[in-house]
Amino acid sequence: MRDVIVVGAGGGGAVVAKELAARGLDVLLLEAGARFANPEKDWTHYESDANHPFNGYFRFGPADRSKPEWVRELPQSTLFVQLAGVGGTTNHYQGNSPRAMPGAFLGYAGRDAAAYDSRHPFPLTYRELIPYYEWVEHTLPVQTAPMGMKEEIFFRGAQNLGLPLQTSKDITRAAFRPQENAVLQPQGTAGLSSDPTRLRFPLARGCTFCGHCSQGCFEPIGAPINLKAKRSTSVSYVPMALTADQWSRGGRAVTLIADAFATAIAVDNQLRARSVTWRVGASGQIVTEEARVIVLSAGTVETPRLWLNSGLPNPNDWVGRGLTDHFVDAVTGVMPSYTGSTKGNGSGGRIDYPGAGMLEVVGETPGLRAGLSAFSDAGVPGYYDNGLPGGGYGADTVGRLIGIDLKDAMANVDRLLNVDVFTDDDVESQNRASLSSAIPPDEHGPVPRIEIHQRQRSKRTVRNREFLVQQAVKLLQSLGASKIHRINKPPFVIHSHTTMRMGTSETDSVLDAHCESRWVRGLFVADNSALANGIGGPNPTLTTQALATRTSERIFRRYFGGAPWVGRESPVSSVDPIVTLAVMRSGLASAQRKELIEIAAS
Amino acid sequence: MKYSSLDVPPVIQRLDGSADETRASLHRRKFLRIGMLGAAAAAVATSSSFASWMARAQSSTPDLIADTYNGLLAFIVPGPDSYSVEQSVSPSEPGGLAAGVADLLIVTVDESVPYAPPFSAVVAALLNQLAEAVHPNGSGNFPAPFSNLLYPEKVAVLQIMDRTDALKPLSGILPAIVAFLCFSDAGTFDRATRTITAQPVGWDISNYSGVADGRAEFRGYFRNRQSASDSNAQGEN
Repeated sequence: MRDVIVVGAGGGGAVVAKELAARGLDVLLLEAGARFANPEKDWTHYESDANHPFNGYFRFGPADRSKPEWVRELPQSTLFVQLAGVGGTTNHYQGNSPRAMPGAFLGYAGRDAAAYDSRHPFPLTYRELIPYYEWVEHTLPVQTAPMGMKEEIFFRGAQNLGLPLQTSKDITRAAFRPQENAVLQPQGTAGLSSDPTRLRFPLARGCTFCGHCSQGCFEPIGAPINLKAKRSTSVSYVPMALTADQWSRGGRAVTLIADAFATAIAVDNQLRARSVTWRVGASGQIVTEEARVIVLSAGTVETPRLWLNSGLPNPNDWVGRGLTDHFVDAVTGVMPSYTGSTKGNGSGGRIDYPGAGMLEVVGETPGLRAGLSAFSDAGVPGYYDNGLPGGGYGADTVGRLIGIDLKDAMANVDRLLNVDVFTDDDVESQNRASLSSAIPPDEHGPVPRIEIHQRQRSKRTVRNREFLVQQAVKLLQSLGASKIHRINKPPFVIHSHTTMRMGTSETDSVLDAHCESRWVRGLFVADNSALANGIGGPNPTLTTQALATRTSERIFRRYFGGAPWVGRESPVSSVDPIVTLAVMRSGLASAQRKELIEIAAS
Repeated sequence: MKYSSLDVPPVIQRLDGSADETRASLHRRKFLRIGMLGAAAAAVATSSSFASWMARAQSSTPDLIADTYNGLLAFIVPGPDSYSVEQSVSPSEPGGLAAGVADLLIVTVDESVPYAPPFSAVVAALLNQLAEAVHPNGSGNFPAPFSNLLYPEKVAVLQIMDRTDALKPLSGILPAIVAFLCFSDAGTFDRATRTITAQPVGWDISNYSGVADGRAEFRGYFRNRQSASDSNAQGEN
């Protein structure tokens, strides 16, 4: 019997695995998708290799790329962006690691308290989470983003709107700021050269400004895996988990099994978690292992699916309900001069509007930019609005960019300034993940159905989104954009949360204040689904990781008699030389040269 | 030309009606399988017109299917090609036809729903049937009715799909896929070598500088601030 089995090696599960491995527990980490052990070989910079929606290596599908992605029922026009494989969706994220809006938490007493989803707060205070934020920020690490041209222009626009600069990690008021990113700052030749011969590690360290966050980061070339610029858990927490015996006194290396899709959780007659059953993708073999504690981190859709397919209790019918997705929209400006939108950090700048959400400046490669520009709920500009009149606020077009509009907008992708809109959206039970009755089960059981009622969202959610769009348009106008396009997207789910939400009330939550199931002992959730709400609009990964760290402590204390460590010990950074040495000695590094070991040791 | 809901032909308005479960269910279980387009296919199969699209798809020739997708590529990313000329929107810069992704688009659609008849044929069938509804008795230079439409008529087809529950998921994702393929490296990407064999048209028409291990784009830190404070500071103006 294992001490702990963690289902899912993405943004949250890898954190629990590493933290508990560092405490010496016997941890089995299961991942449904590919191993992605060597990003330099596994990934390329090509969009169609990575992001082709049906056979790209980042599709939500099996490790074997010849096999199609896994099925989901989407009864509305929806792009639900999740990745399978070790690292999960952090493999293509931009590394944005802001803290949550304090107003999303219990006990918030700010003057704007009424502006948040006050019916669904986190069942803990913001202050309680800060030490866990700090622990994760040091571990990843999280650093202030450097500027490329798009950030420089975006900050000028934010100042045009009269916004102040936020200098603290905490969000305190409407303000702009360089992102706090889980991306290593550039050093050496990084960011200063486009000559590949001058961009190899250790000549270049940290972010090389290649602009390929969405295709997976394997820069700088030649760097040990734990020194890759973007801190996906595949290069940070997972390597630490696999070498915990080497960098943590009393630590024990995690057992990682990829290509292992969990299909059932079993409980004993006392309603205690007992075992996990999974299917091996390559062979179809079915395997079951027992554990004292089970942690579900399969993602916002697959965690409730696994729960429901396992026949676990759901007395208040909230398993899968309450999906929040930040009701994402996008406003793009065609700018009078170079913006470098395809280069640098995926996003290095943001504006927070507490109680409403946030805006980010976002860069993308041309295929993704064009594809996302053609994805709208508002018809075709100049022809029909699909029942969504208005909403331009001075923008030249609202709706899909296709035809001449698309070609004109894309004529110089490095003159675009893309502002993505992330809404502080309400938890609503109608938006949910459940099981499909329309599509036959796959090899893993009944398949998920993702239901998002785009046109029936709460008044607060809609008001917030429209406010943010107006601010984005104003910003682009102030910068002299020659054309401004609002896309008005259908569900474009790049941030998904709250389908297994922790909460203050037993009537509308699945997890208690420690992310343990209300109905099954020893069963925890540590992915975005555990979040109580959409954290006010900021990117969710850091908050999920902080919460996963807190959950790890809870598991260690309650089920293994251990003592807490956050606030009492100093975290080891994933880029610490001791970790570099550990991953290289373990054969995890993508570079093996002796001199690199010496560099790490120094 | 601009279509309002009142202009939509009655035969199309019925698509929003209740699905014919008997006919649709004959095909649904084997037809629906995977992925986002699979999800779109699931919705398509709930349409009362599904059986007629299936029948039309089964009698479609590969040439007719390819012809339909050429018309679709010209619609989303027009260029100087004959399909763009036919729709009366044909800018001089290369478009989707020149991007070399037509076959890949069809394969992409088929791989997503790998059953007979190919899903690409079903999509072509419904596009052509809607095209005939938008422009009855139309004619033109191409075998596919959709490819003979004027640009505003193609928009009308999309409009009908957008307001038809069974077709919304497809009309949402299909233009996005086409645009992605046209502007990405897809047209010249070689899966065997995992590199490109030529400069992609999508890069040319977007003035993209291409993939790179790094760029000389670093412009320092805003006000030279390389870290944020841990404390709950109020910020500065």
